[in-house]
Amino acid sequence: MQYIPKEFVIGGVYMPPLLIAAILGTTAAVAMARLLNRYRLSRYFFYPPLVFVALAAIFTILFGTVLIPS
Amino acid sequence: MTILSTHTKEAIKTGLAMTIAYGIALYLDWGKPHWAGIAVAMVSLSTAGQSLNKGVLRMLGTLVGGAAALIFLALFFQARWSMIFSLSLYIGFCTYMLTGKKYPYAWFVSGFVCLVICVNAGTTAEQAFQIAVERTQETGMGILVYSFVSVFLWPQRSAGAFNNAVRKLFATQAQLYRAYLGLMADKGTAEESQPLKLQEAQLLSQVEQLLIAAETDSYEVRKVRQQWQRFLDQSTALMKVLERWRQSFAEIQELKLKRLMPNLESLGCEIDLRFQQIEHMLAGEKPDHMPQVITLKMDKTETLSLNHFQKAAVTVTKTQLDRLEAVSRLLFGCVQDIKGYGRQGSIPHHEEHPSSGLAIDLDRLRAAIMVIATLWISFLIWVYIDPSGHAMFVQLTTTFAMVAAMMPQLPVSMLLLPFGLGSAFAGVIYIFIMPHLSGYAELAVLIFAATFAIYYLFWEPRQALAKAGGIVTFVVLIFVENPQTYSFAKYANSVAMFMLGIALVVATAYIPTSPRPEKVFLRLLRRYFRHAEFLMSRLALDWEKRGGWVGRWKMMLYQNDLLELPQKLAVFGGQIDHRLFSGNTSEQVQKLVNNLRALALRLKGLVDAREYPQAALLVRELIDDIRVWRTAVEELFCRWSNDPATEPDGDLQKRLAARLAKVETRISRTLSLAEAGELSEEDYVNFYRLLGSYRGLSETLVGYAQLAQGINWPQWEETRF
Repeated sequence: MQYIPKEFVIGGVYMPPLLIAAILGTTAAVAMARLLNRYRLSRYFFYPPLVFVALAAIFTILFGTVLIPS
Repeated sequence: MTILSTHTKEAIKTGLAMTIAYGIALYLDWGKPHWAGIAVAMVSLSTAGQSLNKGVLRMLGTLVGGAAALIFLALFFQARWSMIFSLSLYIGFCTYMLTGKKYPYAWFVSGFVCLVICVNAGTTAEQAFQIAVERTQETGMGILVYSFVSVFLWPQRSAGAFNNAVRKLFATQAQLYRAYLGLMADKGTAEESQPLKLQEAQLLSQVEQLLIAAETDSYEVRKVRQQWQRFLDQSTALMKVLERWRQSFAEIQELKLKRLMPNLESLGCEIDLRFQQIEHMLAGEKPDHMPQVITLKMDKTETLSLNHFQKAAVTVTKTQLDRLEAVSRLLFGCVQDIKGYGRQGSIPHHEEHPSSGLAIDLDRLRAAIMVIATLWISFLIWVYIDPSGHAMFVQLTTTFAMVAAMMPQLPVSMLLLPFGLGSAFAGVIYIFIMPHLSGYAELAVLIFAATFAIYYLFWEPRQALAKAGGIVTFVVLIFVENPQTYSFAKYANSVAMFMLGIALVVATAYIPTSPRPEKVFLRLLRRYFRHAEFLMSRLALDWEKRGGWVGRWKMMLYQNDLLELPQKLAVFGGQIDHRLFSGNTSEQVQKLVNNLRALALRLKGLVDAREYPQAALLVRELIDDIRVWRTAVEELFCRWSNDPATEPDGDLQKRLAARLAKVETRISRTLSLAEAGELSEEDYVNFYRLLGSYRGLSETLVGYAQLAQGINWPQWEETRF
């Protein structure tokens, strides 16, 4: 069976599921970064901006796999 | 009859100008009428003079940017990499200039107009010239329309505000002088005068801005503009002299100054009287006292009873008081000249400061690098990914990066909320209201109402970001054009472009280093001590000016940077979120910054004192002691430049006292060896000035070491997102 991703439609505008997953993933990464800052856990990272990118990627894949229907 | 408030009038004026500008652009069938709307929004300021001035700068920037864009297009039309390379150099140059003091707004406009034309013409080559002309004529028309409206409808002149600000500034400086006079006599504390000092700096900057506006819209200010400029220069000189004078108090408070300087009191009264007379003249009253030249005299018999360091301290204070006397006299003459109470032909006072000629500001260079990096990244994203907004993504992102460079102390993420809410507001208008409108009359009512609402709600200066976010998104996202079309996809793509653009700038703000205020503070602090160390190494008594132009350039660069760094440290220190760093308060950071400001001035004083010739005998006999002292300070600067948290070896206060005692003995021995007439009066003054500067610098260093111990530096150093 051919794999066709399900697009989100808002007002006739089709949005790819990856975009929605990326928005959710980045938002979750922002929240996580704030929590890590708040509890001083970010000091264990060598370069936090890269960690943020990694977190955003992990959350995006996670949301894309688990939450976004395909 | 209801009297409208000032901000209601301003909102009506901007709404009206916006409506007229759109009307003209649509009537003449010009493409992209929102360019005219943006011009109106940007030049709308509280007085006619400020608006006219900003309009002139916007027009100038548009013309220069347009010309640069056409040159780039002519040279590199078919070469995308050469084009983006030359464009990035130009944008980098504009960013460097816009973060400076001369015409920052013109440079900002010049940079983004060049980008807008290059990017738009890059995709529709045959229209390059037309786009440049359209941009210029619509900007010009928007400025013209707003200028007419602001001049003819409830005109607000700047002269009143300018005169008020000048009176406030001078009253503050007079108050500060009186507070310092009391402080010299050991009455009151330095902390009490702190608010006055802050107010003085703010008012000086306000007067500077209002003078430019008042020159434009008020003939009475314009005709004496050179005298006002001189007044501003002398007020700045007065601010510096007052600060240096205050710094010399610590070493003289135990001395009997009235005996040492018999006419000190009469000099104090004379300067006070001058200040009173200046305040009267600024209020429009004729002066009833003319300044008398008073030379501060030293009692030689009393001076003999002092030790050498006390003599040095008195010499330093006397130098500052002599400067204060001269500056206050010149200020009096200048105000007399301006107000027409007789011309004294006041000679401009040249406060000695290093020429800033080719001195490069490292933070401005850093900002330029950040903007260039943003331009390249957004360009590559456009070419290889083609995000929402397409070519406009590049111009928008780079413009946001330039805005971020102008306000380095504010986090870029702060743009997200105003632009996000602005986009939602514009979306409601574009999707739900505009399709029901028919004809320009109805559209005009909508444009007026929306503009009025934005300017009315966000009229306070602290809401400037919200106002900018609201009006820019409104003007861009309602897509007014001839003929009008509606497309939700177009709107959604543009909103995505705004958000992606801001997100990219948030990311590029980390290029080359973290923009977190505590990290910037630490970086600047390290640089401060690196430069201080370099300057100290050039202050050896036997060091001759060698090293050619590179050495001189480095001296100039480091001196300028050192004097400017405390201001930057104060800005970033104020932005630190102290909730994240337990145990440290903003007052502690403020005190530390004040100490660093004092240290920079002390170092500058030492560099100046070093310029005076020193007697060969004194140099020969004292060179070793001074060298040990200097290298100890240099070593301390070096250690702090590596780690500001380093604590000095042993008790710095005790070490300093021991060093002072040793040098004191050596000086006494040297002076007793000197034959009669071997040392002139000038030799003594020059030597004591140098000695006083060394002592003052050391005392300030001890103060820094004590304050620095109270800061939890390891917490500041911790990595954070």
